[in-house]
Amino acid sequence: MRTEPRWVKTLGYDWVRIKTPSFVIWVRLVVGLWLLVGVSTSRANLQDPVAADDAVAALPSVGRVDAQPLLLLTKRLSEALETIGSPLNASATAEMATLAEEPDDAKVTATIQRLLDPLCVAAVEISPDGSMQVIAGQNVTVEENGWRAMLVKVLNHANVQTQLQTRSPNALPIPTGPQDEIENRWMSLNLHNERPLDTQLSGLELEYRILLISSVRVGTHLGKLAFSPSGENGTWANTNITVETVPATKVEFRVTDADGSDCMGCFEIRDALGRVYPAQPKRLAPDFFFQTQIYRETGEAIMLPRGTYTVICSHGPESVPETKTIQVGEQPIVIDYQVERWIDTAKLGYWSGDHHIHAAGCLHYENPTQGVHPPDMLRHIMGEDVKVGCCLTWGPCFDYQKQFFTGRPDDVSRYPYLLRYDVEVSGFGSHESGHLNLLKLREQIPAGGDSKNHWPTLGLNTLKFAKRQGAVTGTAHSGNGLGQVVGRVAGVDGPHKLPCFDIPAFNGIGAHEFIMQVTHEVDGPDGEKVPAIDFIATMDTTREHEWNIWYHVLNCGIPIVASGETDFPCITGERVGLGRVYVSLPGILDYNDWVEALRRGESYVSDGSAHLPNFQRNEDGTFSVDVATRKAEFPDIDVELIANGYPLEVQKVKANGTMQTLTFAAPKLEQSSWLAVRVFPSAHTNPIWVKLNDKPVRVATSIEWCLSSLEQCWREKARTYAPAEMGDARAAYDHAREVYQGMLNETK
Amino acid sequence: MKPSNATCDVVWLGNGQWFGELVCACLCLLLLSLLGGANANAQDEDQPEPEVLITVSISPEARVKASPGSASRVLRQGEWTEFTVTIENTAGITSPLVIESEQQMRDESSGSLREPSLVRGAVHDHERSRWMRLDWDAEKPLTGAPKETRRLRIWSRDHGVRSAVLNFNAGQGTQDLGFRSDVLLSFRVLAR
Repeated sequence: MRTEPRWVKTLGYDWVRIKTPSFVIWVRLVVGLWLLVGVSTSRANLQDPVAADDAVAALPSVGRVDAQPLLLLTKRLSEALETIGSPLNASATAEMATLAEEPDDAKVTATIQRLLDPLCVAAVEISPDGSMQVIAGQNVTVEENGWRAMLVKVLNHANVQTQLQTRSPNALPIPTGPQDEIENRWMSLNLHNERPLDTQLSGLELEYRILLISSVRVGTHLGKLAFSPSGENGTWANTNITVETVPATKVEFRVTDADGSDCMGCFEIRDALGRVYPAQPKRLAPDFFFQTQIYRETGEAIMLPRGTYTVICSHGPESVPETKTIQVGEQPIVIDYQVERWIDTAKLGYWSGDHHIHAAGCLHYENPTQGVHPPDMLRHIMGEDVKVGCCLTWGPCFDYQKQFFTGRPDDVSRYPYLLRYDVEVSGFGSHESGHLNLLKLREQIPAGGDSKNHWPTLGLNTLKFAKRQGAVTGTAHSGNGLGQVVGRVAGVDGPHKLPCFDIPAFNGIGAHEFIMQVTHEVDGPDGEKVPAIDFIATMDTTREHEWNIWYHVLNCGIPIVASGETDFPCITGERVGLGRVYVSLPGILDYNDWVEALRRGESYVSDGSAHLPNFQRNEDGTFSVDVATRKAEFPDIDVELIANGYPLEVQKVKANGTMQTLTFAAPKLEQSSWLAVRVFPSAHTNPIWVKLNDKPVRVATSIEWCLSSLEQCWREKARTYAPAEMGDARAAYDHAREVYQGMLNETK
Repeated sequence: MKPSNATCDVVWLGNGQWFGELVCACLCLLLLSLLGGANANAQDEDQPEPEVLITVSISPEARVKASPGSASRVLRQGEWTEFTVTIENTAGITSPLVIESEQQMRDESSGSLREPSLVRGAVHDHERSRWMRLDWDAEKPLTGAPKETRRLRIWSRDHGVRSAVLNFNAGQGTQDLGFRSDVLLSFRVLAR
């Protein structure tokens, strides 16, 4: 019986004939015969590098394709390889970069193939009629239980835009297989189609895809590798590949802090080709797949194949990173890392903290677990030397992560590293008018439910819930939504546009309703009135935007303090503690004491590269601060004393990590002012208030800015309040108008 | 001219029937325009929705993520092709949604979306890499609704396979991490 040809949809409007079953038989015969030859060639490759080149030469090539798509697809391929920790070597990357200037598309095509073909385990050739063949390429060397990224060359003469798929009888699951097949199932395959790649073929006649290969059996093995451009039930073609699985060796860590005490180290491990270990695409917590580094302490180990590695060791921004070269042979080795510090703020009585990190959502996975667990987060804060980590449960995985809230530091905490779970109002409740960080909660969830769907929609009502139980409250990612300008009030912009009198759009989730909340007092735990909101989060959004709104509020005489955060891994997944607050606390570190000192502003904020402890006003009216900064190549940096947001005096210091005390002359103030020291954009102290004639700080232009911003916020956010809370919302904004107007009247 | 009360018995303010006629005429025009609008809407409903090329998700943390949709990636050289972009806005933000692409041609005159003459022969450097134009209202704020759709039109100078990276943001620093704010799309551009 003659079977009808099967067709595969390639584009919405276009169809391409793949092949008839009879053709399959012919292809199999030809490929089978070819394999007999190919296998023997592959075996020879193991011993003979010249023969390996022959195998590469055997890959079919294309004379010319349009350079525009080829260059862009190759650039994304290079970025994808970098993302999974298997970057192209520097010379190939540099040569590819020059191709943008090459006008001849044929030369571009030839160069790309010359550079990438040697990295290919196979080539898949799809003929114009849809028939296909797979040709073996380079042999694969992979460490036992490790993963190796190889390329697959796709010669797509049919211009199909389907998703390429792969399979192998050697990669079938062992649990469901027959006993006599177990030995054959030693391989795992994964066509890597993740970002920044497109999941489907481009339709271009030439492109490259990434194939991840793993092996559990030491030795040299032949495996089958099959591909299909048309799905599980489509057409498949295969070849044999040779995989050499080399045994891995145990590499143990010994990590000590500068004072000799045990600590957690941060390690980025790369081989001579720049490939990251352990393999990022296959990581589970405590190692995060979106990071290149891992965190390990004394006694812990990883497995590495024999070879030479570069290991970058660090322990947070107060350490001096150290690069080691290690040789891994057959015998286990130890990486011995003792931290060298350029500063130890804890010894100065300043305890670092990051009040905004997450164990779920954003870059974290939701499977196999809904986010990661307290021991994983503790490992990361220890490795980055963040003494207090505030791990905030929020929208994603809320009902899973809420189990870790205890109302005290988690039991996994290891002094002086404290991990505590609290809440960020994000993805529910009042989130649309600006996210809120709620620290030191006694109760995680308001009465009326046990999840996130019954929370108030007015941020001020959220704050009432939190403050009644004595929580410390603040904004999150404050600069978000403050970038677009919708108007301006009269005023003189300062350096760095700080302060700036443009009126922002208030169209995001940063410090928005904050402009209203700062005028309110609400009931505290004992019924006494307390400020509704305690701090503004800084150090993780555009510095000008987050500091500007802070300055204007301070200029109204409202003593809001700054704290530092990362919003890990949402604003960045690089590491926890990129934004920090350093809280002054003598003696033993206690979470409640720490967060209360944060509330009082006994702290400075920093990205870790600049430190401003001990800012004070001296008896003679001068101001002094201790300064230590460390930046690459030790440039001179400006340390500014500011009053009401404008610089009064600037001193230069060398960013070489040494601590020095700066004294600023007694300022001649004409009005009550707040004063602070900043190193833009890296660090800022909290303010010292100076009253003249017992009058509060009242800067008319900033009060005008706050009034206009309040109106803009209301315009943007009124729609976000539930009807049942609209009365509360109107009253809350009316109150803020009255407060600001009253302040303005005081200036006239 | 005496107004006809047979068609429209309106006496407006009792002072001069011409006014009533005017109002009547206006009402008739309004009725006609409504009917016309209804017909137009009916016609619009007959038109198939453009296929979804991209779905944009804005997380509660206002991180903007873009994913390819199911639209056929086919363009015609020198013509505009319309697609749908769906936006899932779980943050409820109201900032404009901006698309940036290094493959977008530079405007010869600022802000103009006029169609340039087709470039033939070998072109290289930025000219080769910039092959398309995008028609997208980058200043229109999001509504804040959980879901909305927008139209995106794409114009190609070249034919053959062409690739582009479209990056989405809702303000500075809102792009999601790990290349999640952009999509790599390859189009088959049919020759004119």
